[in-house]
Amino acid sequence: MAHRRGRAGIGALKKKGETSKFTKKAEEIKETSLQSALDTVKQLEIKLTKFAQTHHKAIAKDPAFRHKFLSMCAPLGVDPLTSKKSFWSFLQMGDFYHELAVKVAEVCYAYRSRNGGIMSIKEVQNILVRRGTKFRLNEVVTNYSEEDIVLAIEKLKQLGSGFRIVKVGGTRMVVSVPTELDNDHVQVIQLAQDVGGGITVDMVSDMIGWEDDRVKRALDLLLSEGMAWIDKYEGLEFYWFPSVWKDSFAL
Amino acid sequence: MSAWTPVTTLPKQTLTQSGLIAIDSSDNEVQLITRSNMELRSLSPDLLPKPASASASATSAEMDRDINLIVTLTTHRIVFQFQSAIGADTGTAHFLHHCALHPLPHGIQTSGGNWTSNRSYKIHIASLTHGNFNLIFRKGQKDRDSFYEAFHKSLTRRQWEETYRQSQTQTQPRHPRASGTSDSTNNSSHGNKVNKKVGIDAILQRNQHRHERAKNLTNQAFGENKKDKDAKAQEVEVLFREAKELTGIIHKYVATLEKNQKEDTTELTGMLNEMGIITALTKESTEDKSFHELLARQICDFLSMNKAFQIHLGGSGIMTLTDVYCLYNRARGANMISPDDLIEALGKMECLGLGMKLREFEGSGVKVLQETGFDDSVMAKKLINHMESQEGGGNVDGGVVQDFVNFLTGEVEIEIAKNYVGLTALEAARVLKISPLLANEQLLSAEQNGYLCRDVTMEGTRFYKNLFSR
Repeated sequence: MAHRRGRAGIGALKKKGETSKFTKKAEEIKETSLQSALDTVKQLEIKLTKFAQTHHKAIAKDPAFRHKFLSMCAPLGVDPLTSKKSFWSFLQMGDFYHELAVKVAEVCYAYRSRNGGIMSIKEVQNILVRRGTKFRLNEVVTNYSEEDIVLAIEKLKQLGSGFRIVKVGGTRMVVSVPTELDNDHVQVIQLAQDVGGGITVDMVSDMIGWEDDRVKRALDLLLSEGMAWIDKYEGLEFYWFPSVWKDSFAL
Repeated sequence: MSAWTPVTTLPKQTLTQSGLIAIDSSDNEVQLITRSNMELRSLSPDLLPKPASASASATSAEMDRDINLIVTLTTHRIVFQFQSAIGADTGTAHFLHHCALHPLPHGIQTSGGNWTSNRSYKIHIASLTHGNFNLIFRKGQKDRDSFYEAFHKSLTRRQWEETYRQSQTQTQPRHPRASGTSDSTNNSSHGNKVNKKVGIDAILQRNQHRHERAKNLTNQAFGENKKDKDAKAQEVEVLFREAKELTGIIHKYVATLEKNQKEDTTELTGMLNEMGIITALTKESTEDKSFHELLARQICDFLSMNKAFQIHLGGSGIMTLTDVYCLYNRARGANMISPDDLIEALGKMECLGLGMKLREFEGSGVKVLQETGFDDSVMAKKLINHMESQEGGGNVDGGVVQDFVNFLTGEVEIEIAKNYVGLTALEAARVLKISPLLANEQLLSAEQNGYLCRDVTMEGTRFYKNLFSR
C-alpha cells in the first residue's frame, strides 16, 4: 500500500520550509505582546502616580489600602509618595527627607566602586533628578535642591557610616566612607579639580610646594581608597580623580 | 496555671521569633491598629468552654473578663495579648477571626458613652462561635472610634475572602471567550463547531483578550480623581477591589519587559529583592511608647529572612546601619522611619533578647547591627585560615622574616621559607563576603586582639598573621 510519504504533519511542513511561517507568527505575537506590555505599563505608571497624589491622605491613613497600593507600585518602581515638601519638612521631619536620605545612600553605594566613596553634590543631584521609574517610559522629574541633599546627609550622619560633606575648593563633595580625609588630601583633590585632568607628584610639589614624600603619602591614601586612579603613561605616573571629572568636563 | 477567661477560650495566635503577631502575608494580611489597656468581657449567660490549658483545680474559677490587654486588629482577625507579658517574655496571644463574627451590621456595634450608666466606650462584638463580647476602651471615645472605623472597614472589605473570590472570577469569563466570538450568537448545531476557533487563531484571540482586559482594567480601576470627599472614598474602594488582579497583570508585564531590557541600571533600582512589603507601623497605629519596641521586633523579623545577614542562612552576621536603614525603609515604602528612630529601636534589641544588637567600632565610629552569635575571633580565624591555605613553599622572604623574629624574641621556632600571605581590606572583603568597610573593621579588630599584624607600604596596608604572639 502506498503511504503518502512526507505529505502530512510537521514533517511535511519542515520539508516545505513552512515552519518559517510559524516563526514569523511567533515573532508577531511576541511583538504585539511587548507592545501591549509597554502601553499598559506606561498607562499604569501615569495612573498610579496621579492616584497617589490625589489620594495621598487615604494612603497614609489606611494600612490595608496602602499595602495593596504599594504592591502595585513596587514592581514598576513608581515612587508612591513623591512627598512634597510641606510644613513638616521645614522641621526636617516626614517622609520627604527620609526618602531622600535612602536615595542618597543608595546612589553613593552604587557609585562607590567607581569613585571610592566621594562625589560632588551636583553629581548626586543629577543622578537623583534623572532617576525615574524602572522602565523610564514617562518623563519623571523630581526636584531636589542641593540644600535638600545636604539636609538628608545630616540625617545619615548618625548611622555611623561616615556620611559627611567635605568642601573641596568651591565644590561640596559627599563622602560616604569613614576614611579620614585631612587638609592635605583635600588640597590634592582641589588641585586635580583646578588642573582639570591627571596630576603627577611633580605637579603637586611644584604648585603647592610640599616635599615629594608628603605628596606621595596623600596620593597613596587616595589611591588605596579608590578615590584616585593611577595611569602610567610614557614613563610618568598620572593620578586621576573620578569625582572631579563630571565637574571639569562639564556635561 | 493558665486562667479560665474569655481570652483564653479563644484559639491561640502564633507569634514570630521576636514576639510579634505572625500574620498571614501569603494571603495579604495587614496589621491595622493596636491599642493597649483594653478590657474584654464576655456577655454569654452560660460559661464559655474551659480551655485545655487551664488547670483542673478549683482555684481557677471562671472569670468573665480580661483586663490589661493589648488588642491588635488586622484585615483578617482581632488579636488579644496580655499586657504584662510584653517585654522580655511575650507569653501567649489569642485571636478571633473576622469570619467568626456575625456579618455586618450585627457583627460589631458601638455602645457606651452615656452619662449615668454604661459610661465607658465599648464595641459590642457578636461572634458565631464564642458568643457575645464587650470590648471596653479605657482611654476614651477617640480611641474607640478610630478602632471601630478600622474594624468596620475590614468587615466590609472582607479581605480574607479575596483569594477565593479571585479564583471564582477567573474561571467564569473563560467560557464565553473559548466558545468563540460575538458572531456565534446563533448556536445552530453546526454553527457552534464552525465558529469555535482552534489552533493559532485561538491562541491569538486569547492573547488579544488578555491584553484588552488589562487595558480596560487599567482605565477603569483608577476612577477620574474627583475632588468630592465621598467620590474619593469610592474611588479608593474600587481600586482596592481591583488591586489584586492589577498586581497580577503588573507582575506579568514587568517580567515581559525585563526580559527585553538590558539592565545596566540594576544597581540603582533599589536594593530590595524578594523581601516584600512590610506593614508600616506608625505612631498612630501603635501608640507612642511602644513604637520603638515594636519597631525593633519588626526589624528583627525582617532581617531574620535575610540571607546576607543571617549566619544560619549563610550570611555574615553583620550589617552596617546604613544598609539596614535603606533596606528596611524601602520595604516599608511609606511612612519611613528616621535614623533617630532606627537607632533608638536597635538600642532596645539587646534587652529585648532579640538575638541581635547595635555595635559601634571605636576609632572609626562605624556602627553596625550584629547577631549575638557573631564573634570577632571567628572572623579573625577565617582570615588566618585563608592566609594559611594560600601559603606555598620556598621563598626568600620566609628566611628574612625568621631572622627578624629571632632577633626580636630570642629563639623561636618558625617554619622556614614560607610565602607569607597578607590581606588588604579589599581581599579580606572577598574572603569574608562582607563589604570592604566592614572587612577593614574586622582586620583592625583582629589586629587589636593580637591575631594579625599590619604592614604599611607604598602599595597600601596589608595584614599578616601575627607570628610574634607565639
